[in-house]
Amino acid sequence: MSEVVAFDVVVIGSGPAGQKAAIQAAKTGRTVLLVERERGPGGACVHHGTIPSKTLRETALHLQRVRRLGVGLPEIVIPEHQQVAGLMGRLADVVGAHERFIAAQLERNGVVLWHGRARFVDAHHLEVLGVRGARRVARGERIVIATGSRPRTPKEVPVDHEHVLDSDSILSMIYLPSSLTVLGAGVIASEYASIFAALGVAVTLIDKADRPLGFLDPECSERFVRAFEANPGCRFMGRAKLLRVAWDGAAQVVTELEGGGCVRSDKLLCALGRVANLEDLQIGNAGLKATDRGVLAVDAQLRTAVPHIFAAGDVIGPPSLASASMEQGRRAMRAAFDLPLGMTSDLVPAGIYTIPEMATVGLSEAQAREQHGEVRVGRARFEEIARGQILGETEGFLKLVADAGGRLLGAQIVGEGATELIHLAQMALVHGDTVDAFVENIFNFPTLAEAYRVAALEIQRATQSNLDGRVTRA
Amino acid sequence: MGAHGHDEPGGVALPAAARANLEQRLARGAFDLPLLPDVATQVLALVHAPGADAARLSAVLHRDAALAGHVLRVANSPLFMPRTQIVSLQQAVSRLGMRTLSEIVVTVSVQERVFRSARHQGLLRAEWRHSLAAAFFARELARLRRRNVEGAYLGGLLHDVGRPIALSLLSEAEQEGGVAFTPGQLEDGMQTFHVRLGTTLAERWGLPALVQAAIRWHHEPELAGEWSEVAMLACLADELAQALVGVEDPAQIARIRQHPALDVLNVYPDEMEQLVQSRAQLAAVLELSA
Ligand SMILES: Cc1cc2nc3c(=O)[nH]c(=O)nc-3n(C[C@H](O)[C@H](O)[C@H](O)COP(=O)(O)OP(=O)(O)OC[C@H]3O[C@@H](n4cnc5c(N)ncnc54)[C@H](O)[C@@H]3O)c2cc1C
Repeated sequence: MSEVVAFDVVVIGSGPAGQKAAIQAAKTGRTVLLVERERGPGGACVHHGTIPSKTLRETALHLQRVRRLGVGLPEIVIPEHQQVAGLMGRLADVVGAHERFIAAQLERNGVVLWHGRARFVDAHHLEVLGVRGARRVARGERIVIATGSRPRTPKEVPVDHEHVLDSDSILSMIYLPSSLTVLGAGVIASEYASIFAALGVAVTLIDKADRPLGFLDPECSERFVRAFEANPGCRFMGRAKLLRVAWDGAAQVVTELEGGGCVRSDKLLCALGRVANLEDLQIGNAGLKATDRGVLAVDAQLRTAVPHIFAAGDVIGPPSLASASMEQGRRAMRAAFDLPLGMTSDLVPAGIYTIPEMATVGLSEAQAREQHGEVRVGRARFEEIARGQILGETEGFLKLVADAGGRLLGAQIVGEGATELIHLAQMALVHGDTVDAFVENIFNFPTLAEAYRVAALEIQRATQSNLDGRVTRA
Repeated sequence: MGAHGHDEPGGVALPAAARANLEQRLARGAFDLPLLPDVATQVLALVHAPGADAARLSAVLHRDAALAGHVLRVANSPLFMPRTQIVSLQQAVSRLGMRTLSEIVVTVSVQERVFRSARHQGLLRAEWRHSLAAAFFARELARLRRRNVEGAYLGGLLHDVGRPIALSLLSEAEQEGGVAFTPGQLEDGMQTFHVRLGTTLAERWGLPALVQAAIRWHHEPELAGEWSEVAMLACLADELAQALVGVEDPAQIARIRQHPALDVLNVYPDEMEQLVQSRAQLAAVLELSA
């Protein structure tokens, strides 16, 4: 073994989970090594995921807004061979700024960064292989596995990153294709489908489920499908079983479906889930094993089967969100050093950056009925709200679900600002508030937050009439 | 970087007078650059025009029988791996798609216009093989690193396009002076002038910015600024092509394993090995140079 450098904590992977774990550990005065196999810190979030996709989305959204509000303005047509990079003009700046920010934060906290690919030698030692083949060994008293995930490629989909792409390569396309098939109907598939649809690409979204984003309240996914299919040439094909995908060797990607269906398109995006990045790590040498689902199992403190080894982020499976990963990284280190976790909540809001945007927190109506029996539902359509009118936001709505006594159980929002608006519901849920809180407090006007009031009033009315009813009956 | 298959030990320098003469011609712009054939220019323009349509493209291609013939040959070659044989231009346009077709048109035009000449045929052939191999490795590297594959292909194909052009200027000098340069001198001349000539050609042909960057910066990728990855990719593809085409050069392969481009592109030893192994598919690609 080459010379061993010892640290209190070694973190593998510098995505959202690894960063927060490293910084949390450093803040307790421990020596921390962060190992990252890519050149810069940031993980999938910065380089292939959240930030690039949202930068492209911003352009798509802008176009849609102009189209929606641009009465009397000339129609904006994206040229057929528009360069994708041209639509993400600010991407390099955004990614660069984010990378610099992360690097500075790590440095400020004294975190040592090694560029290389880590693998376990034993439960305390990691060998880090550099790009030019140099090997270094680090010892960690505690180790955090935060190696994230990558796109899953089923064998019937020959991803070549040229015609058949995945979410790591989709934005490397130079030109906007005229047609795109998207396989899958999860968050990543639906987000990209709606972004490219808004940019004028004819998108076919194909999945085995009967609706996209199956974890959402059906009202939300229906609204999404309606908005998506309103784009010319775009459709959702549910209950479709994939047979095979092939580049015809010439001009198009052919997607064959069971029952004889066939879809042809310029490009295809395969977004059929993600797999944990474990294979390089040789976790067996540390006495660890992946679960049947290919992820690492952890307890509530993010501890793996080997007590000094923790895991956080996509590598432990759902919810596979940057937001949740950060919190897991932080929590793992607080647990490792017996620090109080603070007032943490298990409540994780989900933000889905489709067009229209969607967000949810807490229980859906169906889940609430299952768990609480009788529930109250209040809705507000954005078009009923002044701010919604100003924005030309006609698709959006907010739905609140409460128990029979009016205590908030969950919220679903579709429409502009949904991912921001949802946090109001989240805070109400954390505090166990009833919907009265939305009626009794003053919000800015005109804002979309007014929707909370409208929906809450509906629940109050229902609760009231129910009480009245009971009084009458009594 | 060095000669492609024609390394002359002891590399003799180009005579000072000839070098000065070429410098002057370049400075004054007193040299002819090969024209991109009319048809290729039109094809490129058509493909980039909004609302480009296949029928017009095929009509344009029909106007140049030689080019049309080559397009069919290349379209059927292993490089583009068609499922069924492509027998007509109409079919080529509809089956290959405009973008692939424009790639083929550029490949064919470049070979015809730049890499063919009565003199130094062997040398030009080696240059062409090198270009095809670099295109191949650039494409594989781009795939590996999830960069744009099509653009990388053209960058690899054209990164050294200035070399045959320099060679034709050197040939002219030979004829005018009634001399014959040694292979070492020719190599020195090509090496000295190819980036400038290639860059001028790329601008004149209006090649995509990404391809221009590969030509301009493949020897100095560290200076390429926003194009550094593109340049590093072309640079590494260039070196892989040199090391792996023809007689394999183990010393050069060992050097490549320590190449600074590996850091920028983040290519690990096992991935490098994968690239080196992919040379098995190279033979089929090089059939094109026949
Ligand atoms: C297209 C897309 C859009 C998304 N949008 C959102 C969104 O809007 N909101 C949201 O919350 N989430 C979003 N996500 C999810 C989010 O990106 C992930 O949940 C998050 O990045 C997971 O963080 P992580 O730290 O677990 O892993 P990652 O971000 O994947 O980072 C893991 C890091 O570990 C490194 N690594 C792996 N193996 C090794 C090794 N052996 N040695 C050294 N380093 C290694 C990797 O190079 C990587 O940098 C999106 C994802 C994608 C793909």
